[in-house]
Amino acid sequence: MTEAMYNHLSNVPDWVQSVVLPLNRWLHVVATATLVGGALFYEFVIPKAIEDLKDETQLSVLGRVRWIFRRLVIFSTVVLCLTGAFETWLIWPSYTHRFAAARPWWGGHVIVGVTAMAMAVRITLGDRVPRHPIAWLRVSFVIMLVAIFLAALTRHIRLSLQADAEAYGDQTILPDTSLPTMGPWPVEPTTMPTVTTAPAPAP
Amino acid sequence: MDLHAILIIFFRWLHVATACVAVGGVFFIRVIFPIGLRSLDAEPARTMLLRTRRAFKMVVHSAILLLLISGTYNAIQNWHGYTAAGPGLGHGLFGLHLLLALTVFGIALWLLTGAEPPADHQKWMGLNVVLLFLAIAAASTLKYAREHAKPLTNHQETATINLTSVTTQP
Repeated sequence: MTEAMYNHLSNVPDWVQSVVLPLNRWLHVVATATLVGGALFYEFVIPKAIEDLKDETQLSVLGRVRWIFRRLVIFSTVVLCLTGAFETWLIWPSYTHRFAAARPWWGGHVIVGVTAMAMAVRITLGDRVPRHPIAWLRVSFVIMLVAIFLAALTRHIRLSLQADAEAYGDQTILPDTSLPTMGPWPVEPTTMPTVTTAPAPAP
Repeated sequence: MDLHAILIIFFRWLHVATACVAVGGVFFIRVIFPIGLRSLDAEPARTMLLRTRRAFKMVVHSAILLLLISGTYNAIQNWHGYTAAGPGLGHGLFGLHLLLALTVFGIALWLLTGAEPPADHQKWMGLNVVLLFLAIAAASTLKYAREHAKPLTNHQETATINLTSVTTQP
């Protein structure tokens, strides 16, 4: 099993991969953190902290915080889209052919993540300053957590399929697509490698 | 999908989601929230800061507990992966990640102790933001090193043992 089966950067020098891939992942996680944590505090913590202030003071504080938070949401969304697209392009071979079982979960992660980001951008781009906690941002926060869960699930399935391919090679028995299944889970291979496939020992 | 796989996925999700909440929260409190307070007088701004600090304290204490639990489980699960990542590399990066995380926890707990924050709490909170970003960088690099280590699987080890036994037979 070669590296080329898993990513598009197999011909790039190792040191470039060692810098680009972790950097891309770091940007993706940091942008997620600022978006998720920012949404939590903007929606759950700040309203509680200012509830004793006068209405006009509340509006003033919320307006200023929202002005900065809007920039943060837009910046994080752009970074998430760019780094996510790059990561997808990079490891797309590991979502095709015998690894295709992981693709629906990748699709779920993308759809749910884009939905959450679109909701956050839509809410913060509005002209009206919200006077009370916005229920939609809470929904968006929950959807972000679901997107993170789908990312963890996708990664686990993808690595399980790769580990099976590493272990069994071409002897892996692929699922019979004519049979009904409970879902696109990784299928346990049913054959073991034998020594007959190994090169003959030197005389 | 068995219980083991479900636990792996759950604890990984718990670790990432909790880290996102903690990192984003610290960033929000340190960078964005002070801008909102500029429109207030000194006394109302201080009152708001203390109220926010109380809510922030609950979030941070819960996050530290969840990060320690999920991080311990993940470390035990991935220990062989750290070894397979290369001589010193995997465990070195894991140690760096752990050291940075524990430093952040210590600073956060110290900053949130007592009813009033320390005088230079903004400076320390800023340092925490930087250390958190570095901890994520160490974790990202560790993940890359682990995924590209190509360790022997159990099945490969079995096949290797079988092959060895065949070649050593007279």
